[in-house]
Amino acid sequence: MSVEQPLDNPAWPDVRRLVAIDAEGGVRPTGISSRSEAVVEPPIDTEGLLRRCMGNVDFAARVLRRFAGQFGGDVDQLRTSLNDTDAGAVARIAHRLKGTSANVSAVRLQAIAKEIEDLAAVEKLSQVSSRIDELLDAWSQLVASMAPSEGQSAFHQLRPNGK
Amino acid sequence: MVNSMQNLSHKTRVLVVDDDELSLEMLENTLLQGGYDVTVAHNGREAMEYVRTGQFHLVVSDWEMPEMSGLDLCRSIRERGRSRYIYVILLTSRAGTNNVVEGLSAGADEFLTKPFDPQELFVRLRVGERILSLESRDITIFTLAKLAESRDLETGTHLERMREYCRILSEQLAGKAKFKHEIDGEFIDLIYLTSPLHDIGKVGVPDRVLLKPGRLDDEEMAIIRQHAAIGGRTLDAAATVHPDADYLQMARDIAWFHHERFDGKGYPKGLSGEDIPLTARIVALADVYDALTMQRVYKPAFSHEASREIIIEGRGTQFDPDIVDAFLECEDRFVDVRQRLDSDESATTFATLCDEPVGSAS
Ligand SMILES: [Fe+2]
Repeated sequence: MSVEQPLDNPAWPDVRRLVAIDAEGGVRPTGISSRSEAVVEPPIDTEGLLRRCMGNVDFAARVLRRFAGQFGGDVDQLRTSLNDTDAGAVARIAHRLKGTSANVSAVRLQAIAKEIEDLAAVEKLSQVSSRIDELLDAWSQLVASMAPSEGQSAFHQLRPNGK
Repeated sequence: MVNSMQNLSHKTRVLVVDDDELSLEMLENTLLQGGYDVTVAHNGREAMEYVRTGQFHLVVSDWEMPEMSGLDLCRSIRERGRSRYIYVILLTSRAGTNNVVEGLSAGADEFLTKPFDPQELFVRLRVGERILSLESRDITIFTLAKLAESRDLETGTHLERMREYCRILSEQLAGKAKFKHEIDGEFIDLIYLTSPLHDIGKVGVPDRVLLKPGRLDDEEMAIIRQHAAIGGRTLDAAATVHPDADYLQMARDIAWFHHERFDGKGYPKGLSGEDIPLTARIVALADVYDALTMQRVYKPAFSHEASREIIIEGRGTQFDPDIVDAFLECEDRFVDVRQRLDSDESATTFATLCDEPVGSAS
């Protein structure tokens, strides 16, 4: 399985996936009001991410792009360490990935990274490989959830530093 | 010099240390939004280089970093030990008492769980700032009080009694409707801390006058009276540069106006009534009571009863009538302090008239 790479698209992530205009014209994080109806947790807790970005949507998008830039490398390192059966290295990388996922409120990734860290801590490396697949799965969902939707280009041109 | 001091007091500097670029960027953004002056370091070694400049007193560091961990950084900071305190907040995803104990024994002051919450970060930093400001306040007051003491020719317990009298009067006044909004616990703490600085301006009075035995002539008296304005202006300069340091403003008011009289016949400005800051009105009575009840070369020690009569005589002329009333309500406590802190004043071999014989209109 390969790591999905969204950075080729300069419009990723679509900030409209982070905030929505509500009926009163106010801006609020997406995914919050819908949480009660949602069967699956959204890949990103947008409320948490935006709080940690002090409400700055453009900054949140930049942070997500930086996260996307690091993610592939982290997965490669995980695989290499797993091949070397270096449990210490697997735990260390998983711990780091857990931290960065938590920072961007990628809740699913954070949970899987924690599982990998815990498995490596007790040297159960045989179970790590399937978790890496889950990680990639969750990553693809995250990428898709932030993908620009139709008609985004005009919106992006309105933003002063839209990327 | 004033300019550089102003720069220092402008924004609070925070040093943020994290090996992860993403965390670093998010912390930096948060702190910039919070009005802090932020410097980032990517590892413990780089952080220590910043710490050694002596310009950072608030540090937010990741716990787990390659080479030098947050714990090692804490230990290195504490090993320096000789300069102003550095407040360290460790970011950690580790929960549990063992880790907290490990962090605390390495010298961390506070912990913040990852992922950080901006509001929680701000609260923790404010606690750190408060602790640092109290530290610098106490150092400043201690230094100034030592300086004041060096020119205080009474034995050392004069300043001790003075601050006790000021506290007692403030507590008594706090119970009155007229003053309860102005006098709270902080006011009482601050007047206790700053009242010993009332005569700090005596550092600017030449020895030939300050140390002269016996009576002073008019010119010498005029020189000695300058101590109020000298102390007031000096502390005012400091208070202007540090507008948030309320203790400096209080110390300034006390030093400048503790020889003013309620009827406007005091010095240096001839302020009257409630134009005289409340703190200075309180110190005025405390200072005079102590001068009266202690022996000086030019006068014997008056009894409490005799001193009390003189103070009552000054009600509304020399002293604020409300403060005289408060004094009469708690005079037993004055007597207690005097007995407890009545040092061997006969050790005083010379005295000046800087605390003039009271009751006399000066
Ligand atoms: Fe004085």
